[in-house]
Amino acid sequence: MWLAPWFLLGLVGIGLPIWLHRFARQTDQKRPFASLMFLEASLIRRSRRHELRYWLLLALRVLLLILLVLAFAGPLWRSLVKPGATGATLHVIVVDTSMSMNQGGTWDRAVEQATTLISSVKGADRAMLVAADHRMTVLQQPVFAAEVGRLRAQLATLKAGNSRLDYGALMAGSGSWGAGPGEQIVVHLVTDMQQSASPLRFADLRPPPGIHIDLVNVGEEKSSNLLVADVREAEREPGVVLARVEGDASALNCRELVLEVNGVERMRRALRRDATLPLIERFEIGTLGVGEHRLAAKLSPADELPQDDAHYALLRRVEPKVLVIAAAPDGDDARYLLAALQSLASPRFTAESAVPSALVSRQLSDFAAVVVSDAGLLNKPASDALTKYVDAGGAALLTLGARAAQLSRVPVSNAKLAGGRARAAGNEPARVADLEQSHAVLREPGAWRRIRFFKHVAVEAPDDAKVLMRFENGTPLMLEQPVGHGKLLLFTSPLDRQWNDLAIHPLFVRFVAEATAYLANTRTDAAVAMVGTALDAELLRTGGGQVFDPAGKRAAMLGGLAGGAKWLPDLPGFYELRGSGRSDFIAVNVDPRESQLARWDDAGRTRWMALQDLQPTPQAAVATAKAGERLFPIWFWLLLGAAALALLEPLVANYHLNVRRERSA
Amino acid sequence: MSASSAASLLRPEVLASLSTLELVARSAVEGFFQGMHRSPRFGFSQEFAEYKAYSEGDDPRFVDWNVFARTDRTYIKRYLGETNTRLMIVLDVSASMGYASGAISKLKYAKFLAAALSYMALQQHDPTGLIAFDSKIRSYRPASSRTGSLQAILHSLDALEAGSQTDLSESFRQVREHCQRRGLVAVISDLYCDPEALTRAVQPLAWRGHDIMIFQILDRAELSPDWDESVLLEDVESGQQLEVSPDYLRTTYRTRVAEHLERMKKVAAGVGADHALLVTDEPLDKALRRYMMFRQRA
Repeated sequence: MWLAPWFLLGLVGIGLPIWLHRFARQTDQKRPFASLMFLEASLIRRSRRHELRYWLLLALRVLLLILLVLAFAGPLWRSLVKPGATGATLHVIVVDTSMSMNQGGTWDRAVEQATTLISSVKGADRAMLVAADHRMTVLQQPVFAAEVGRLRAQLATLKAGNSRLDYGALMAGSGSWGAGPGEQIVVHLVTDMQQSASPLRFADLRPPPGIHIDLVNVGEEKSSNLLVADVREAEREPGVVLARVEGDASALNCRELVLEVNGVERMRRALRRDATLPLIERFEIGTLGVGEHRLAAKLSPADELPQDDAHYALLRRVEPKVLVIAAAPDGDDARYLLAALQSLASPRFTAESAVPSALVSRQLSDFAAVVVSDAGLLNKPASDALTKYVDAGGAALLTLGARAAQLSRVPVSNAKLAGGRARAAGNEPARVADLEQSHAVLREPGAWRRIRFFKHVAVEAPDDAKVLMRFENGTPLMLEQPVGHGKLLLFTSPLDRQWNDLAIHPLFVRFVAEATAYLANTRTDAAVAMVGTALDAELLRTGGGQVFDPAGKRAAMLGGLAGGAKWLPDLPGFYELRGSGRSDFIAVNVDPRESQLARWDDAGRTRWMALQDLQPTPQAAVATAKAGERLFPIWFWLLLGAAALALLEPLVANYHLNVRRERSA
Repeated sequence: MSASSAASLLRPEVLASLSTLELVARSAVEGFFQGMHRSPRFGFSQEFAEYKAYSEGDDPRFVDWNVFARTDRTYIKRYLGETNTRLMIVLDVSASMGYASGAISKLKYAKFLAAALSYMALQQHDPTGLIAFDSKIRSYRPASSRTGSLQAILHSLDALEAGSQTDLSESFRQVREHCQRRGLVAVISDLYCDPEALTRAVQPLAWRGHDIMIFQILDRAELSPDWDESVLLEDVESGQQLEVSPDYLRTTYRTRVAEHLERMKKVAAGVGADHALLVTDEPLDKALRRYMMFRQRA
């Protein structure tokens, strides 16, 4: 088998030395002579040796070319091996690149140990290099001892990261490293043996069958660390920011805690040496204006593990504008909705009511959400304008009232009305029978079940809609439906007192506020993430765009929400998301578990090692490593042979050509 | 014709420009005698040469009766050019004779010499024959002094080409069969052979009473090769190739050739033969003079 058989065409090049030799022979000054009887016999024998050297030189050059061509063609030596017959081992050198490996000289020791392991690969053994943190990255596929230079090259470029390693996940993933027939897998885990890297269940440390674990501890025996675990605005105390410092008290010496707001240092406070940890520092920075504010609490100076010396958070002061569409701006339904929206302290909505024609005349992109008291109010232009707004990423809450009951389909949603009429509840008012408790706007199932619904508009839920609440008869009460890049909440009963008594329940205000906040995307707790954790579309809150890392470099391009965009930040700090005409920040922090530098003790390591002894190794190994073919790449040896011939060739050539300069001694 | 212009006629390159061997022979011999200021008709002079014991078959008219009266022995007087001597030219046409470093190969030079000798001998009415050999006899023309013999010999010479390897013992065994009557045998060869082999080949002829003259013809490049760099030499007879340095050719080779020539002279002297080394860039007069002297002694 060949890796690149086209290179075999290079064998045509063998004709070159043959032609050159022939040409060279032709250019020899061959002269006829009457008789050679006066030439020495020894000279004749020498000439025969020269002739032999000539052919030797030609053979050597041809062989050199053949070896070169074969080496480039990449031949694979096929051999049948039985399990265990070779005694060869696949050394999987796993280097822990989690954040804690940055501590002190841990990383240097890890590289040193990994280099030693690479150098120890001998004979038919193979080795591969894997970087492990929140994910396992195979840096170099298995290579033989002759090619371990690749591993060294990959190791030289490897750096410790900012995310977390879980030993349990590592053990689970190690089963994917397939050994060749007859090979045994030994996983050399070069790590700092951090306790916090342990999985929840100790049993998860059991390696897969056929895999032996070799723990290479490079952690520091004694280490102390201080970290900023949290920074946030104090509840019920606007303008006050609390920062929590955790870690070892021994690391408190001569440290200061610095608070930055929007990249500007606002306050600095020296930490007391005798403070008790965890320590919560209080910063009174005054009321912040409307908008998004980046808070960063940093320890100064940085210690040996600087990645956790800062904690980042976002503080959003938002006053989203909400447009309420009603038949009359001062009607009951409009007044109820406005009152409910304006009663909220956080988020503080700026709500205004308008007639449906405002949907056409107003700039809807200025509003975070649109609430329509009765979808039946929307004529064609208004319906189109609202559909366009939602489709572009806006949000709307539509309630269906008496006017909507006259329609065959709900505007914007295009949901079909079942029966085309409002459905009376009968003798007993209908109640909520089923609701999605996990949804952000439906957190009080008991309160919802107390609401009586006298009438509602029966709709058929569209395929892409999710029914959030149902009546006892199964008809939907509330649906959530994605429309383009936006969201639509459909409430099949109006928010007045004629069709239901929601308006007189305390739930009404919370529901309107939460539903509007949900639609307006005003939550402040979602924009915080950890390094190495996937950010989903909801957190990214964007219809696509570019992501810039804390250093200002473009880190990723994101697709739309429909594409299920996910992305893993790898640096702590503020990431900026730009797209859809808006700019958002995400505060990304390191996993606090990586800041806990406590190591495994010997007993723990022994127990871990004991796990692999429990496995039925011989049987499992035989089961996984069946007899089969093994392909050995031999290009290296061919290249080595070619190099040797290349060194030999000038020697033989000089020896051959010396005939011309030969002196009769 | 002046002496210098006559001598120039003997130069090989001049002879080579002549169209036929007959012309070559005539030009050489005429030129030779022109230079010597003597008539080519020397055989008919009355200049006393020697006394010779009468033997059966000698013409009794030449008995010197005065000597008989004084000594009671029968001698006959002999004069220069008076005797008729059978000349057999034994020409080596082996491949090595085809070698030429210049325009004149050894074989061509040997043909000139053979033609000139034949012409000269037939002018004296000496029966002249030709044997060409390499590994065996390639061409044979019995000795004859009849009209047309010269043309026949020249024609035979003209048709000769360089052949294969030399085999002296076999060739001279056949030569001996063709030379039953004693006479003069002119061996023309480059003598690339073992001296003992030459002895074994020529000795029987001498024992039979033949007067033997050996013309050893060599090219100048064989005597003193002079190349600036190593050369790959190919033996024209065996085809064997050998790469030789110029130093070797300038020193050891020349010494060996000189030793070989010396041994050949000794071999010739040992069998009572006359040895003459001829180089292909030399005029023919040297050879003809040697022949003349030898002829007069014969």
